Amino acid sequence: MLFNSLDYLLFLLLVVGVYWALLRYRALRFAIIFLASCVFYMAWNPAYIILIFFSICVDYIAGRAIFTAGSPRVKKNWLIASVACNLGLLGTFKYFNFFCSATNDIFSLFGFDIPVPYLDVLLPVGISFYTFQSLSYTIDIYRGRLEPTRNFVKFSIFITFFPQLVAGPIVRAVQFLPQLTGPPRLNKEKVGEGLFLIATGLFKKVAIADFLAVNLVDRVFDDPTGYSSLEVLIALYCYTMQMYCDFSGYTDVARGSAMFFGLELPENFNRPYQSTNPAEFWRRWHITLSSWLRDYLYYPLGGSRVKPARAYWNLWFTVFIVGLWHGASWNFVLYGILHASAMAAHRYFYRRAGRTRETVDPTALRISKTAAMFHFTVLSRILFRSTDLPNAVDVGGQLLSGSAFLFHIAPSIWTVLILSYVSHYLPRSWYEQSKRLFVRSPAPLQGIALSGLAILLAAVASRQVVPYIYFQF
Amino acid sequence: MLKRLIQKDSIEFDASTAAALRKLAFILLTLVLFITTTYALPILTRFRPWVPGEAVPLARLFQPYDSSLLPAFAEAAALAAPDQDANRRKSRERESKVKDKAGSPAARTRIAPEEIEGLTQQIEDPEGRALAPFYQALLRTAERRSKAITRVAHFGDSAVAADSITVTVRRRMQKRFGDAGHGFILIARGQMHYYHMDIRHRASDDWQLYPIVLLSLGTDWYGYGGVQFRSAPGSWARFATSDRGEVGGRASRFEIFYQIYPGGGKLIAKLDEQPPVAIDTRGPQKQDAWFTLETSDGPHKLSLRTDGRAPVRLYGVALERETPGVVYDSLGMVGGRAERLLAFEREHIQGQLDHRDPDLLILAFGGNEADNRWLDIARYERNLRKVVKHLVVQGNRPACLLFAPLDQAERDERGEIRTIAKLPEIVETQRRVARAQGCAFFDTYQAMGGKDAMKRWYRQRPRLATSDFRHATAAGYERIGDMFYKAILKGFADHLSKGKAAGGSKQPKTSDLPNPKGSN
Repeated sequence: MLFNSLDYLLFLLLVVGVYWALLRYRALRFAIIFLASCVFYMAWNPAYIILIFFSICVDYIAGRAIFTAGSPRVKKNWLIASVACNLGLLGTFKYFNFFCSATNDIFSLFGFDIPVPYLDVLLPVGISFYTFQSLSYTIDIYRGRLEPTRNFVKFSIFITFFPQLVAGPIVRAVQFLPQLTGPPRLNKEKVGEGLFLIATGLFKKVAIADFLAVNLVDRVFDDPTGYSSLEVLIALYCYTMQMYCDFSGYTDVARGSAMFFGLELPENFNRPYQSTNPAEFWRRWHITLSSWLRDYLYYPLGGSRVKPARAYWNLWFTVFIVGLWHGASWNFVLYGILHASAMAAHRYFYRRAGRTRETVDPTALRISKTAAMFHFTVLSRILFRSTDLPNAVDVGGQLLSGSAFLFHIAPSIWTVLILSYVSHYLPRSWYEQSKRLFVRSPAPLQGIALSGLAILLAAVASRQVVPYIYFQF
Repeated sequence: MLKRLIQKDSIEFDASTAAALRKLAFILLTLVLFITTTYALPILTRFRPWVPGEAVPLARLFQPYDSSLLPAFAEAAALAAPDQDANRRKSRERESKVKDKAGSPAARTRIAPEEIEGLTQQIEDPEGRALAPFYQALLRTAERRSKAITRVAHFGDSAVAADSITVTVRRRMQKRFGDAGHGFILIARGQMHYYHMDIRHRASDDWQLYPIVLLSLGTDWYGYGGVQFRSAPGSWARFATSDRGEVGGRASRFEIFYQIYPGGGKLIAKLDEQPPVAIDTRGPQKQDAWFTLETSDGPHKLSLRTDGRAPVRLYGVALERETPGVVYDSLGMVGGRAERLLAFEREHIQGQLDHRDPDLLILAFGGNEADNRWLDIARYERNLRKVVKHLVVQGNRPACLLFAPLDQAERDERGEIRTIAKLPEIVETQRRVARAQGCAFFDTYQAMGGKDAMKRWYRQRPRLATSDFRHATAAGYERIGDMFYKAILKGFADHLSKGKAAGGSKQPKTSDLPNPKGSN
């Protein structure tokens, strides 16, 4: 069930309506959200709900066992069981086939062709998101930062809450569970903000991401040899914006939908292409994943409070895992290596120059750093978007071919591309101001504005189904 | 447990929550009002979030494929149910009589009068040559010659896309001449109102569709069914023989129509519980390809799934059998207009048709063209001729037939239901083009009753036409399919009769056959 479908709109309204109608029936209210979340997930593939149930049961039991265990050893064993189960699921369904074929690829370099097993399974939608979310619960209990919930349904809602189930943001139990404790509350500002987020999210997805994908990006990556270097570069700019609008658009709709239940989900993006260096980029892009890996992988590895060589390894390895998290293929291995190396290099030069967080660059330098970081991101996106390495090589080769015609870029693509980048580089305060303006508008005006947006989106919407990019992760 | 569920808390709506919910309701009301206006004002038609005929939102996400259901016209079908049952009973009785007489191979080449009882409209083929190759193929099939399969490719608009007319013709022909398999079906239906009966078919909703009717790729390779499908990671589709009804329950060959191209990915095909087969769609240059999976004759299922992130480009799957019989490809395109077929890259569509090798090619368009009040008939005629030439090249191979559109009506300023002025002109144009191009012609418009037929069909109880006055109900489509099937049988009988006069051996007894309007 895609967010940009009539089905989701009706589904959301139905669930919100029933939720508030059952305000006085707490248990029933929770049951409805849980049931709705299951239905939402099962619309994709009913069978794979079993995997989520498995994850829920394991972590619910492990969470309670860790909390009540008498000895640190028992606590640790339960934590290991939880981590093994969750990563085992992820490994089996997402990485098993890749590791097998990668092993074969490596052996074939030396002339050996070994038979490798192949697991005939689909990648369950959202598995990378909900396993991480579920893991944060048991780890936080183990660290003593969280008390386990007794309420099984409440815990299930934390894992399956439908607006963020399939593509995040990755919510921590410490952020989410307390919100389910008291009676739900809503106010006019939250309603306005929720609608604004949904509207902007849909606009980003339908009017920008899908438009650019269908009208240029997909065509160029399908057959790069039919386009000039300049066109391939424009397509890469388009893809960079498409990816941001696709994913941040999803997050906006997820956050907006959650607000109607009186719940808050964390922000996931903060204008990432304004970053001046790789570290800043990963603080602004997919924030909940970066911070998850920082807290649950980088810090446990020792973070930067170890010997310099080890600190560099910790940083490199964490960012490499960020890359690999996105997919099981050589593309993402290289993507991870590229970003991890850039991050390590940035830290090296940053320290060597004796810079601190307080160091302020002159405007011109800041602009050139932003441009350089942006182009590093754009070029690394070749690996992200290409279907496999030969495709990436084709796109890269075409980019370097030196041809400069622009036959395939329609005026509408220029318009959407330029406007989207201009809005991305506008100060955040402008966005906040427009949100405030919408939130404070009277209800009829909001309704008319949303109707107007619906007309616009219907006019520009692609007739093809363009799934969210992050659904595949 | 239940007690805990319905246990009340002492929570009350606080003032701000109540006000917020009121505000939300008010905003939604504004949106609902806007949506209502899209249904009230024809100028806003394109902004309708849901169009009658589409599957019901939400329910469609969980709807298993039901081959007995025509979702677009479910309501009308329900209205028609009592009488339809009676009609079906009569029809079954008639068919069983026919079956008794037509059971043996010899009897299959003899058209009994009961088989074309109620014939209303004949196929127009003044020279008697246009459909000769088709009838010859049908004769070989009727004689049960080894591997004598007669294939029909029925291209058309929405009346075909939901298998509405074609299902009746296919079932009747397969029951009479033999069931040689369901034939071709698209990979997925996306948001299209595309359905096929007598086959079980499901697909993930993440396929990207490039239909020729939208000219999504300009002039390009759209495949035999007019839609190119590009996969997303993990896209899947499943096809299985029907588990009900008298036809479509068996297959012995699944053929996958796909494209090889430089960026092509891997497709995993799995037949029943056999080990999966990997099909690599990567190649140095773009070319069409087919992959066939053979098995024993019987009920089977085929699962397709993409492997990896590289997209595969597919066109469809054909289910066939080795036994003599008829294969009737229902190739409907929602919103189809004949001239859109010119967007088939010529060599590509010729390659597709050569490979499929139909004995009869039917073009059933014109309904959507009738909507265009400013349609330039001269230009329409020129384009239609081009379309026929585009698809039928090798002299008389395959035989071709233009199938006129259903009556298309609208309400005039006084609220009367009238045939759209352009429609008779379109029908006449099609007739002219058919003659000029050596094709046969079936006048569906006249078969329905000519001018204002849609009004009469709409007013009939149970209804035979829907309230948009553009489509028939399930019962209406069944009637049109029945008329066309009988017209084919009559043409076949005439063909055999001529064969006898010329010294042929097969002689149908046609002396007592009816001689309705439109005869040669």
